[in-house]
Amino acid sequence: MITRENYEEYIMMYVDGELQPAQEKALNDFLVLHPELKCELQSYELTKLSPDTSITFVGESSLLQSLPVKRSMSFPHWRQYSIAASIAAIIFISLFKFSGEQRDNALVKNEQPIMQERETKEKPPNAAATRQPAIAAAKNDTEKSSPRNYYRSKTLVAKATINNKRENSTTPDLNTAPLPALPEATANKIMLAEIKELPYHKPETPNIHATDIPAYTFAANSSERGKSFWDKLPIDELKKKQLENIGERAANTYQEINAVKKDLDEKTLTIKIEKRKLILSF
Amino acid sequence: MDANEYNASVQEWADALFRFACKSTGQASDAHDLVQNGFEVLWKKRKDVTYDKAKAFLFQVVYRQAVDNYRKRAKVSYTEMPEQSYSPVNPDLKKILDRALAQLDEQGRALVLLKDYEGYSYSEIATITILSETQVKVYLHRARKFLKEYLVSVENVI
Repeated sequence: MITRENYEEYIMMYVDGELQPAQEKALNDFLVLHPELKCELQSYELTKLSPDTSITFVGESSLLQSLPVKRSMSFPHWRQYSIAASIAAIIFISLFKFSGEQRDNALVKNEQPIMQERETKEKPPNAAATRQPAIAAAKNDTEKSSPRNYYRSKTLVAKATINNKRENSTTPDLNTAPLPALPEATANKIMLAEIKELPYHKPETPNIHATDIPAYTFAANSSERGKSFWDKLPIDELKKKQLENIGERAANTYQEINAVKKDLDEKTLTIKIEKRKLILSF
Repeated sequence: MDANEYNASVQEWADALFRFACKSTGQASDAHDLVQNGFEVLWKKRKDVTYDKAKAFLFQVVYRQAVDNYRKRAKVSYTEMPEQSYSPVNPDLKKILDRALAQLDEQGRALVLLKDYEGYSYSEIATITILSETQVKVYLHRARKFLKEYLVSVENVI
């Protein structure tokens, strides 16, 4: 209730903007009833100060603080590369392992053209000119589109080439004879050509020319079966060891990932940071 | 509050704080020191003060220094701020009000400034000044009444 005794308080609260809507209405009603007090309200309104915006703080920049350098958690570059290398190694190794298992069927077939190419290139230019027509004839056969003819012709080419070699070579047994090293350029070319066509030294057996049988019978050689394709890769032992190490490391990483997955399944997260283990349970 | 938010506080409230300090102390150099000190305290306490509370915190620090410390001094001479700008509509009123403000005690002056310059509510002013809401209301009304009477008396003289 606004009276003549307390109206000033209400007016000041009105100037301060602290009145509730109902109180504002009550004050208005009171001033309507007492118009002589309206000038009081106007006088109080004049006391309201407005900020002098021209007064500004000089030297604001001296108060500013330098921002900290943003740090982000990231793997070092070498670690990224090692992960990439591990994945590449897994693919590489699994490819050859798979190929080794399947060599009885698919791989031997794939090796045939390579062998032909290699042997053709190995042949010295002055060697047995009389044998050339035989190879040429066999090559002509390969141009025929029939798959059976293709393999037959391959065998013929091999046969012709081996016979050719026999004439020039002093070693009577091809199984024991060391194979001539591939010319480097040829090897590179083959490596780049297609990964399935990776060459390896497969000793020719008399079976090749003894009978005109399809090429898949190459795998019949029992001494070849014991060896894995990995052993026969034309790579240094040191490099093989390195590849094995990479593969081992990749396998370890895979196991670690599996462990994390298992932890997640069990609603426990184990994070290994350097030598410390952080186990989070949910 | 992080460094980014602190810097944002500087850019947003340094001027308002300086204006308040200037009008409270009446000395531009003192006001400058108060503002600088206020932000130093804020930076030290940044881990305890959130960004939305930073403005009130700054005014609290400056108010305490302006009112409490200056009150302890035996004599404080309030000199009017240099007349940097006055409302072209009614320059005389502004001048008279500044003079009236200078006549108020430190606390009353600070309360009027917090209310009129910054638009704080009674409860917010109570938080800043560590007074009760009733005390704020009483002191503020007392100051306001003084200003009004000063204006009326000057008008009568004129």
